Amino acid sequence: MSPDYQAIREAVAWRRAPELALLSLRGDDARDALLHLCPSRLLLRDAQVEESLLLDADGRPIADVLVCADDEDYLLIVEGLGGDALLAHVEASLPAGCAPEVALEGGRAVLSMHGPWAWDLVSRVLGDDMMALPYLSLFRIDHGICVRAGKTGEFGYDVVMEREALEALVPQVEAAAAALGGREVSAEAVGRCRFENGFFDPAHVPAGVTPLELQLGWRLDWRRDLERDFVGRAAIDARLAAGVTRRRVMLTADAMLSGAMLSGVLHLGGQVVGEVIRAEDSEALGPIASALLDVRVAHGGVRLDEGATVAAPPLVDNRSLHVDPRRHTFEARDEIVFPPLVRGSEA
Amino acid sequence: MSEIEMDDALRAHLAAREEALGRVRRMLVERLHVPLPPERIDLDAPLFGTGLGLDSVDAVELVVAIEAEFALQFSEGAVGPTAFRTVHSVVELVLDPPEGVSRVEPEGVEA
Repeated sequence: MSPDYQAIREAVAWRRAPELALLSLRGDDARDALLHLCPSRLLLRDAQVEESLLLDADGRPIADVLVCADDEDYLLIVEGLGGDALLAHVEASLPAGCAPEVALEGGRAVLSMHGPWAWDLVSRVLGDDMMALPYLSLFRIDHGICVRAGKTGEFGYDVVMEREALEALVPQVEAAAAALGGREVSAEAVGRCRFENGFFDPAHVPAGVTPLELQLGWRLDWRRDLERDFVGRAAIDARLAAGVTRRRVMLTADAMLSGAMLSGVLHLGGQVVGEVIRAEDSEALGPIASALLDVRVAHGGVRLDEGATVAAPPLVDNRSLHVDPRRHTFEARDEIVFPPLVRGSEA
Repeated sequence: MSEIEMDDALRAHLAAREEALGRVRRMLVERLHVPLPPERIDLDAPLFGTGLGLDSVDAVELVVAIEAEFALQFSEGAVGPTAFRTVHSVVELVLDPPEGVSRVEPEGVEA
């Protein structure tokens, strides 16, 4: 197990996240703009957070978004579309007459924390209030906010602060993480853990798909009686009318394969049934992949000719499910009986 | 779409999966009040927190609903939280229950 992987899955990990763009929507039209830009229900009270998307006009997800409700304003933490491209998308997408105050928050930056003991890390650095922060909510701190969300299946926090204040915090984070057996990790390590959990990654979206194929229907507002339009809605309605024929699935594979060997077209009984989106060699699982499969065979346990089998994500049993901030401490972590990281394997 | 040729074992496997998925979806809408049309509940949708938005109170109801819908009985500690992560993992649970989960004979049926 590499040090980065071990930190994320068993201890704590942190990294600056420059790939995340911060966009604020303020003013009387902020909510109308949000509901036009993002397709989710977005029934948010102050300090609540919701996962959403940005879609293009074809309904293709182009960004992963955390929508943070800050009183009557919104802060969008956006991955997949940054800087000027994000601003251009927003400005081109807003309907006539909808004129919120839109700003890229370039003066702020994000530091993310992950791991089964990340709640302990964030509490040591930002105070005990963080320990009880509910999932998908935010807490206001000096110079910014702390958002509990996560992209690895472990406890996860995004600290959004003014850049100088955030850099001043880094030595504390580094020292506290080291005390918890953790370290600064790479974006690639976080990305691989995210992939093991089967989470959406805007860097791996095939052409021609919508949230329907990606199994992200839960990020869409299905209350069709509402007279609500959002970017990409017409394309999604058209896809529904035509029928959704493919579904994104996760695959595990025989150990003798490598992730790189799982590429291209997938077959069942010699017939073409899908294509690989992404393949990786997981440290815990060996070769894994995501694929678009014909919906008629996109079910768990279906074994493809390539030696890969459809599996239910998450592919790992995240340690964070077994760590309870109310009962456990890092110092007494050896008292916790964890199941194997991978189902069916020995610990 | 052209037909996919498959053997009887695979056909039966897929039919069992579709049937279980349909029942889990209906259960989530009718008993857990998930605010989505059943057919729009994705196989890999997360159940708790994000995704379908169930909470800790719903967790108890989910277990009760699964036991009732699929005539299963969970002994304490038999099933870890991973089994309830997604719709898909619940489908796997009801089709292939782990040790500690027993099938319950419907009332009125002699063993």
